[in-house]
Amino acid sequence: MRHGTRVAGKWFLVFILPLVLAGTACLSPVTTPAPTATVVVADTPAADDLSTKEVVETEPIIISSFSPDEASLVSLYHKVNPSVVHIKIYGDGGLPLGSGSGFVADEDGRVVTNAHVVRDAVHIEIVYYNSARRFASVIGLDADADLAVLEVDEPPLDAPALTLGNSDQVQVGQNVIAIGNPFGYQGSMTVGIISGLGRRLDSQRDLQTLNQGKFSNPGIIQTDAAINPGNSGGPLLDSEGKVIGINTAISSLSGSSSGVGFASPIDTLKKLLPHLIAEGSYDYPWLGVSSLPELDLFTMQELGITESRGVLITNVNIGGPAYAAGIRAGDFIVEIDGRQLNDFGDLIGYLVAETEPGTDVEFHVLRDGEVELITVTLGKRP
Amino acid sequence: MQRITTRHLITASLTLLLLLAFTSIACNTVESLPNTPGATSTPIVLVATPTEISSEDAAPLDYTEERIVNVYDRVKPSVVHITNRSEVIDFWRGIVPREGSGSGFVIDSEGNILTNYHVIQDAQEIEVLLPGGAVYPADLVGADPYNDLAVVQISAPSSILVPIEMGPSKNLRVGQRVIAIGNPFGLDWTLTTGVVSALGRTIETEGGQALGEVIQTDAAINPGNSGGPLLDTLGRVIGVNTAIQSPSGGSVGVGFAIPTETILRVVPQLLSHGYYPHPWLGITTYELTYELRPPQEGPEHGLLVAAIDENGPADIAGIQPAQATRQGRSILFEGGDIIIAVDRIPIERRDDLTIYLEHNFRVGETVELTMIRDSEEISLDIDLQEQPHR
Repeated sequence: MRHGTRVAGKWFLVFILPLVLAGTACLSPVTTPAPTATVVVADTPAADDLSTKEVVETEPIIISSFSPDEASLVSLYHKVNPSVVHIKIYGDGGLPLGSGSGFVADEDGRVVTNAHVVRDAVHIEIVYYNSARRFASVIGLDADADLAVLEVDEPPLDAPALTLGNSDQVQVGQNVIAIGNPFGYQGSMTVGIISGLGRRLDSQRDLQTLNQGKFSNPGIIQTDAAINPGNSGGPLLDSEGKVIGINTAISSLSGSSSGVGFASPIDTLKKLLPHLIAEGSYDYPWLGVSSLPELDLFTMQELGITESRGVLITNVNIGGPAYAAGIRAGDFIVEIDGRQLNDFGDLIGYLVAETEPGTDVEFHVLRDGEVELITVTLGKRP
Repeated sequence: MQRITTRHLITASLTLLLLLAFTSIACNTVESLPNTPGATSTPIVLVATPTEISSEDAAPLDYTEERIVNVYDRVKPSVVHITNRSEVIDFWRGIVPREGSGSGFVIDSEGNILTNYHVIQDAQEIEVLLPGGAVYPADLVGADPYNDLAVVQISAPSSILVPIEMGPSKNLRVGQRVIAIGNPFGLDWTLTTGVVSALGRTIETEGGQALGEVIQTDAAINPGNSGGPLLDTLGRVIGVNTAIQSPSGGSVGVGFAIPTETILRVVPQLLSHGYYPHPWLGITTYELTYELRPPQEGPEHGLLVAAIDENGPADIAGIQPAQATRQGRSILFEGGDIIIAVDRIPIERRDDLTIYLEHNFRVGETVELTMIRDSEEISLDIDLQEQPHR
C-alpha cells in the first residue's frame, strides 16, 4: 500500500439471505422428554411470593406501565407486522434453498424483497404473520439496487401495504425498527438508530463485458439495529412505522449482526417500483465513467490535485455518453447541474435519484487548472 | 391457542450461555482471587460502591434513561454471580479443575436463588457472589433440566438479601423495552437493554429438547448472562436469560429468555419437592410426513402411537399402539392410533404436544386427545401421570 501508513481493515460485507434449511428429520422414536439429572431434594418451605400466580387474560391493549416510547413501539409492531412476510424459496422439486423477508408494498398485495433473496428461486412461497401461505412469482427484478417485486396469488386482505416514507429526509441518530425473520424466527422486531447515511453497496450484477468494476447502489442507510441472516428484504422503519429502507447487507466477521447493518433507501424503490411492475426491469441513466472509492491526500499529491471535494475520473468507457461529450480520465468533476459533489457516491446518488436515460446534465470539470462546462446526454446503463 | 412453530434445522447453533473456562493454567489465580471472575483473562477492577456524582455534574436524563437507571439501582442488589466448580479428568493432565460462571437472582429472604440448570449442572461446588462482594457456598435445592431452571440456596443473613419482584409474563408485548442484568464474559452486573423481539418462540436446546413459550430479545445476551433476569422497565422479572442464536458464540441480537409464567409454575415445585413433576402420557410416537410416510388412506399429519408404557396413562385410557414389522431395511407399522388433536387443537409435531401439555396441564389433570383409529375419529380422556424418573 502506498506510503505504508494505512492499516488494511479486515472485514467482510455479507449479504444476509443465506439461511439454508438443511437436514432431514431423525427417525428414532422419541418419547415425551424425561428429566435425566438426579436432583437433590432439600427441605425448604415454599416461597409465598412465588406461588401467588398472577393470571391476567391477554387483551390487545397497551398496558399503562409502558413508557411513551415503549407504547409507540408496541403499537407500531401491532400495526406493521401483518404486512411483513417470510419468503421461502425452493429449487426444482420443492427443494428448500433458503429464506428471507419482504413486505407488502402496494394495494395489489405485491411484495418487495431483495433480488438476492429470490435470485435462485424456482418456486417462491410467502408465509404471512398468521401462517397464511401463498405462492408468488418474480415480476420485476433489479440486481443493481438489489430489489425484486413479487406478484402474489390471491394476496390475503388482512396484509395491507406499508406506507413508504422518504429516505432523503432521514437523519443519523433517529430511531429505526427492523422487522424480519432472522435465522427463520418469523416476525422478529429489533431496534436501533441510523448510524450513517450515503453508504454504497456493490451491485449484485457481475459485468464481464465492462472492465470497470461494479455499479454501485448509492444512498445506503447504515444502522445498529440487529440485522441477521434471514432479515434480507425486510423493512427498516421509522418511529411512525413508515418504511425508510430495505434491510440488505451487514458488515461482519462472524456472518451475523455486529451492529453494522445496511438498508437500501426507500426512495430508490419508489422510483423503480412502477417500472419493475410494468416492465419487469428499470433502465438506469448511464454516464460511463469510473472513479476511486475515495480520494486521499497522497493520491491528490501524486496527481497534483488541490481540491479534495469532487470526483476524480479514472476511467471513461469508450463509446459511452461521457466519452462522447469529451470527458476524459484525469478530469475532476466538482459540480453537477449546479450542485457541489463531495464524492463519487454523490454523483451516482444524483444520477439515480434525479435523472433518466436521455437527460442532459451539466458538469463543472476541473482540467489543467481551468474549469470547463461539459454537457452530457445520459445513455442507458448496459 | 393455535401454535405456530417456526423451527428450522439451521447451520448456526443455539448456544447456552454458561461461560465455561478450563482453568488448568490459571488454577492458582482462581484459588487466590475468589472475587475476580475467573473466566476472563482481562484484568477487571471491581468497584464495590459507585462513585457519587453531584447532581450538577450529571448529564440530564430523558424519561427512558431515568427508568433504566432506576431499575438498575433497585434490581442490582438482587442479581448474583454464580461460579460452578468441578474437576474433570483430562487424558494428558490428569484431574483438571473446571470452572464456569453464570448469573442468578435472589427470589426470597430465605436465600433461595434462581438460575439456569445448565449454570449449575455437574457442579461439585457452587459459589454465589453478592453485589456487596460477599461470597457464599450454595446448595442445590431443586432442578428442572427440561425447563433449564434450578434453585440454589445460600445461608446469608436476610438483611443482605433483596428478593427480586416477579412480573406477569402474560401481557408482554413485542416492542416493549427490556433490561438484562448479568455477568457477560464474567463482567459482573452488566446492564444491557433492548426490546421484546418476539413472543411464544419454540427453541431447541442443546439436549435436543424443544422449549416453548420463550421470549426473544435483541438486548445483548452473552456467555455468562445465563440465569440472569430479563426485566421490564418497572424492574420486574419477565424471564430468565437462557440461550442465544449465534454463529459467533456472542450476541448477534437474538437472545432467548424463559418466561415468568414458566418460572411461577416450576419454582414452587423445586422449592417444595426438589424437582418438577412433568405431566406424562406414556407413549412413544412417530410424526407422520416428517418421520414416517403417512398411510395411503388416512391423515397426512399426526402422531402415530408406536408404543405405550404398561399401566401408563395411555395404556389405562385404552390407546392402541401400532404393530411394527421389519421389512428389509424399513419398518412397517400396521394399525395404531394416530393422534391428530389435543383439546381439539390440531397438532402435527411431537413438540407441539409436549409443549402444550407442559404449559397447560399438571399431573393428575385430564386431557382430551383426538385420534384416528381404523379410519374413524375418536376422542379419549387421559388422566396424566407424573413422568417417571429414569
